[in-house]
Amino acid sequence: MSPAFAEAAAELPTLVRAHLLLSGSAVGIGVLLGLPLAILSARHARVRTPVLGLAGLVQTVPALALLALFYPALLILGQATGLAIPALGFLPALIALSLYALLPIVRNGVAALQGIDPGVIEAADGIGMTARQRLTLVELPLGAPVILAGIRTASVWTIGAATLATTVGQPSLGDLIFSGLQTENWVRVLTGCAAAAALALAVDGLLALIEGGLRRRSRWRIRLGLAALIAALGLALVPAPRGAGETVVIGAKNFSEQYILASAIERRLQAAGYRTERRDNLGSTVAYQALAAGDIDVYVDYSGTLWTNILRRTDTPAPAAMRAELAARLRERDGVLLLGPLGFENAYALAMRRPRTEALGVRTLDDLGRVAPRLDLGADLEFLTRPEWRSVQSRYRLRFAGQRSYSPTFMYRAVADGSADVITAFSSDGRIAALDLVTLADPRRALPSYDAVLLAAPGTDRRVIDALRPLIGAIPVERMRRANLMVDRDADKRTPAEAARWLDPDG
Amino acid sequence: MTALRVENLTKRHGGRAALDGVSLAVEAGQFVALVGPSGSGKTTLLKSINRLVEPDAGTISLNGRDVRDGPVATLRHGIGYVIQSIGLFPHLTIAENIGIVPRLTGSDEDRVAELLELVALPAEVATRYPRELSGGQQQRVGVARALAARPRLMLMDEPFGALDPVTRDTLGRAYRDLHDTLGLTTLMVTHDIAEALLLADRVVVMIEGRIRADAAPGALLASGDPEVRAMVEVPRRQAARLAAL
Repeated sequence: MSPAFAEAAAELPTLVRAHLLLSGSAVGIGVLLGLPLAILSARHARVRTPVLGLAGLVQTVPALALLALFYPALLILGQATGLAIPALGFLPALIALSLYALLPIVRNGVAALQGIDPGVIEAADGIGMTARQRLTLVELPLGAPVILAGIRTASVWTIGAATLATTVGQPSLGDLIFSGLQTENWVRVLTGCAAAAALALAVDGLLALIEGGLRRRSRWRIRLGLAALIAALGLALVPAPRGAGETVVIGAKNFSEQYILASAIERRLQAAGYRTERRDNLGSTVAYQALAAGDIDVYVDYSGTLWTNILRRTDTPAPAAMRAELAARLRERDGVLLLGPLGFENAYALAMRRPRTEALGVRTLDDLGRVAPRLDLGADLEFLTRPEWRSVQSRYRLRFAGQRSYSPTFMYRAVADGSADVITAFSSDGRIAALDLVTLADPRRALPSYDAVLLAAPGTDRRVIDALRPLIGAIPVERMRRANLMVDRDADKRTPAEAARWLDPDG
Repeated sequence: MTALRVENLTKRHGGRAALDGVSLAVEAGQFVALVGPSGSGKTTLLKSINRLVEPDAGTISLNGRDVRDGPVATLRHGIGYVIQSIGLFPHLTIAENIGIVPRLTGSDEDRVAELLELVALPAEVATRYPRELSGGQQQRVGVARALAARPRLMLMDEPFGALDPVTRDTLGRAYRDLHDTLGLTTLMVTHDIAEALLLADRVVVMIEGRIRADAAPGALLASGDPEVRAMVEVPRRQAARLAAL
C-alpha cells in the first residue's frame, strides 16, 4: 500500500463521519424547513412564487461562493450581537448546505401536493376532513413518493457539495480532494472523490428503498431503509475515539508549504501530548480572522501578508522592524500572539523561465515594465486582489497583455508550458529551481518581506507555545524549498506528512 | 317535515350569477333530481348545502338549523356526499375508505361488512385497494362510504355519470332502493333527463341560476315552458324512436 493511500485511508473514518453528520444535518434542516414551505406554497400562490423564486436563486449561486459568503456574514452577526457565534467550521457549512438542499425539497413538495387527483381532494373535503386531517390522512401519504424523490435529490446534491465545506474550515471528504489537488497527490483526490460518491450512492440507494416501499406500500422496505439511515447517522454522531489531552486546532492555507508546516506543528503538539485537528485550505484573510476569533489555535502566516492585508500598510520597512511592529500591533488589535519567525522567507516574486529572461534582457522589475505589454501574467488566486499587486503595478508601471489566476500548482504548469510568461512565484518554492525560473529583482522595494511567522490565538496556553518554540528559527529557506519540492515534484512524490517528518525529524 | 330549506340563495362568479335568488324546500324522504344545462348553477346549489361553496347571500337550513351554525366538519360528517369522480382514497383499503368518516368522528362502530352488503359488494373486497375494483364497484364503495356515518341527507353530484350505461342503470335503481329502505332524503344533480325522470320523485330544472320548473316527473312532461319542454322531450322522442326500431 502506498504511503499516500495509507495516509488518506487513515483519515477516512473521521472525514466520512464529519461528512455524513454535516450533510445529514443539512438535509434534515432542509426537510424541516422545506416541507412546511412546500405545504404553504401548494396552498397559496402568493407564497409559492417568492419561495420557489428564492430557492431557485440560491441554487444559482455557486456552492463554493455560498459557503464562503456565510463566513463574513456570521462574523458580522457575531460582532453585531456580541454573541459567540462560530463563523468558521460546522455552522456556516450547515447553513449554506441547508439552503442548498431546500430547492429540490420545496419544488417536489409543491409538485407532490398539487399533483393529487382533485376528485380525491374534493371527496376529502366533502366527507368533512379538516385541513389538518386532509394533510395528514390524504395529501402527505399520497404525495410521499414524490416528496421523497425530492429529498433524494437534495441528499445527493448535499453530499457532493459538502466536499466544499473544507474551504470554510469544516472537515469533510473535501479535505482529501483539496489538499490532494494542491499537491497533485492523485491518490488522495481519488480517495476523497470515491468516498464521497460511495456515500452519495449508498444514501440514495437507501432512500430509493424507502421510496419504493412507499409506492408499493411495503412496510419492510420502509423500515429497513429508515433503520439503515438512522444507524449511519448514529454512527456519525458517536464521537471519534478520544485520546487524553486537550485539542489544538491547526489552520493551513491552500498550498504544500502550509500543509507541511501544519503537519510539523501537529507532530510537535502530539509529542507534547495534545490531540490535534486540522482546518486546511483556508483563504489568507479567513485564516487570520479565524485565528483572531479563536476558531483555530495556531497557523503559519507571512509577515508581508499580514502587513499589507491586515494592517493595510504600504511602506516596506526592514524585516526585523516589520516583525516587531507586527507583533505589537496584532496583539493590541486582536490579541493575536506572534510567536516568532520560522527562519525562512516565502516572498512573492515575479518569476520567468531563464531562456525568456535572456532573450528579452529582463533582470529586474524595471526591465519587465518595458516588455510587459507583450507578455502574459499568471498569478495565484489571491495576488491580483492584494495591495502588493497595486504597489508593484504602480511603482514599475506594469501593464501586461493578459493576466490570469491559477491555483498554485497550475500556475507553475502555466509558466512551464508557456501559457504564462511571468508568474507570481513563491521564493521558498522548490519548483523555482526545478523549473529553472529566474526571480526578478525588486529595486524599488515594492514588495515587503515575507518572513514565515508562527501565530497563536488570543489566550493560547503557555504549554502549547512552549511545545512549538523549537520550531522558531529552525527552518532555513534551503530546507523548506527541498521539503516543498518533495511534495510538489512529479516523480518520487512524498506526502506533506512525510515531508514534515524530514523537515523536523525531532518533532 | 321540511328536511332542507334554501332561501334566496345568490352566488356570483365574476360578473355572472351562478345562483340568482334560488329558493327550495325539500321534505324528508324525498328524492329530488336537479337537472339543467352546464353552468345552470345546479352543482353550485348542491355544494352550497355542505358549504364547499359559500354563497354571497341567502340562507340554507337543515331540519330547521342554519348550516353556518357550528363547525363545517361536523356539518359534513352528517351529510352523505357522492361525486362523479368518486374520489376514493387510493392509499387506503376499501374497508379503510368506508370507515373513514366514523374514524374522523371518533366512532368505533365497525359497519364495513354491513355496508358492503348494503351496496351489494362481496365481503372479500374489504381488504383490496380501489384500483383493483371496476368503476361500478368503486362507486358502490363511494355510496357505502357516504352512508357510513348514518346521514339523513345525501348529496350526489352526477354520481353515475362516468359509468357505462348498463352499470349506470343498475346502480341508479339500486340506489333508489337504498333511498327507500333507509328513509333518506336525496338531492341528485344529473344532466341525464331520463335518469332524473325515472329515479326521482321530483325534478327541479335550473336554467341560468334560476329554478325554471319544479314538478313531479309526470307533471314536468306537460310543462308549458318551451325550454323545459325541449329538455324533457329528448328522452321521450328517443324512446319513441327506439320503440319504432
